[in-house]
Amino acid sequence: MNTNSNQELHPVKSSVYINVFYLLIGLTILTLAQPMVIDLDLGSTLIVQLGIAFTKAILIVAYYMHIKSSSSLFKKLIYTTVVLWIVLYTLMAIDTYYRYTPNDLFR
Amino acid sequence: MSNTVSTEPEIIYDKQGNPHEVVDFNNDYEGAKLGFWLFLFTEIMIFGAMFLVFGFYLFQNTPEFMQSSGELNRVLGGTNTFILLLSALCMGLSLVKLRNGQPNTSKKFIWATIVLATIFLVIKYIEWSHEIHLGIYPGSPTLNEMENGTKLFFGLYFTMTGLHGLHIIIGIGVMFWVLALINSGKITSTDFVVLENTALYWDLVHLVWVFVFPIFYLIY
Repeated sequence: MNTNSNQELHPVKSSVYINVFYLLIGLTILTLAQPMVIDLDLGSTLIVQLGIAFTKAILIVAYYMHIKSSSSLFKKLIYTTVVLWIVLYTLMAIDTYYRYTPNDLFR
Repeated sequence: MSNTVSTEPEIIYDKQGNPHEVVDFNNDYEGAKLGFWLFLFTEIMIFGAMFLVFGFYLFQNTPEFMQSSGELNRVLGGTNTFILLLSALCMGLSLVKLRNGQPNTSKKFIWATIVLATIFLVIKYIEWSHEIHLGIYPGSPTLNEMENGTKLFFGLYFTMTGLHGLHIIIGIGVMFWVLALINSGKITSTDFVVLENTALYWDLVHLVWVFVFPIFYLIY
């Protein structure tokens, strides 16, 4: 009763996997090419590299992990996790930035 | 809860108030996936905490981290990135084939994933062997004489790629189990949640590497 109804809910096709695979290959080539093509400082390198990594992550979660075609329960679960993740990482980033300075929260 | 089997059927009601007899508490597709996603979130917490530690020490020891990153083998690391990407595709296709009623093709794709995962581990072994040969491993006399930032970088490198490698090994084990379940008819084209959750796990392993690779290999 369960799996049959869900199979109708989100049919998956090989073509979706293969198209996303080509996109991911392209992004991986960009990842490897960036240090060889343009020599950036650390800050810019991190922005470019993490930008590519997050784009890949969104593609993987949306298509390979089927969140795009999942029920709203799973979508909300992912959104909530992402918000929580941003809050925790922002707090940590603020602490990292001010640690061992006169504004150190833990001094 | 009583141990005796109740003869009364359990009834649930839908929004319109129509009664339905509960026939099976198992085989709950959404429940199985939800439970597995909760497990994946705990995995994200494990790796997420390590990424935070990495970010903190990168900020504190920027020159040493950049220098150490330059010493890693980008060709081997990059090759592993492509291998893992290809293995994630194979795992996804195995699920598609199973659902389309082609269990034999599905099994071939799982075997391909196992082979790719093994190649990943062999490359990782070559990388680690090279570093250990140079005397760089956590607690080694050579590493202990280096700067604090270098010690932290290689400590995190071995911890994070090691934990990731452990997940690959566990993944290979789970895939053999899935193959056995397909062979014994316990995973079928209509009851495939175990394979789907295994694919989710493998995608998470791939996802972690998507972030591990640039932060360790490409910040030089």
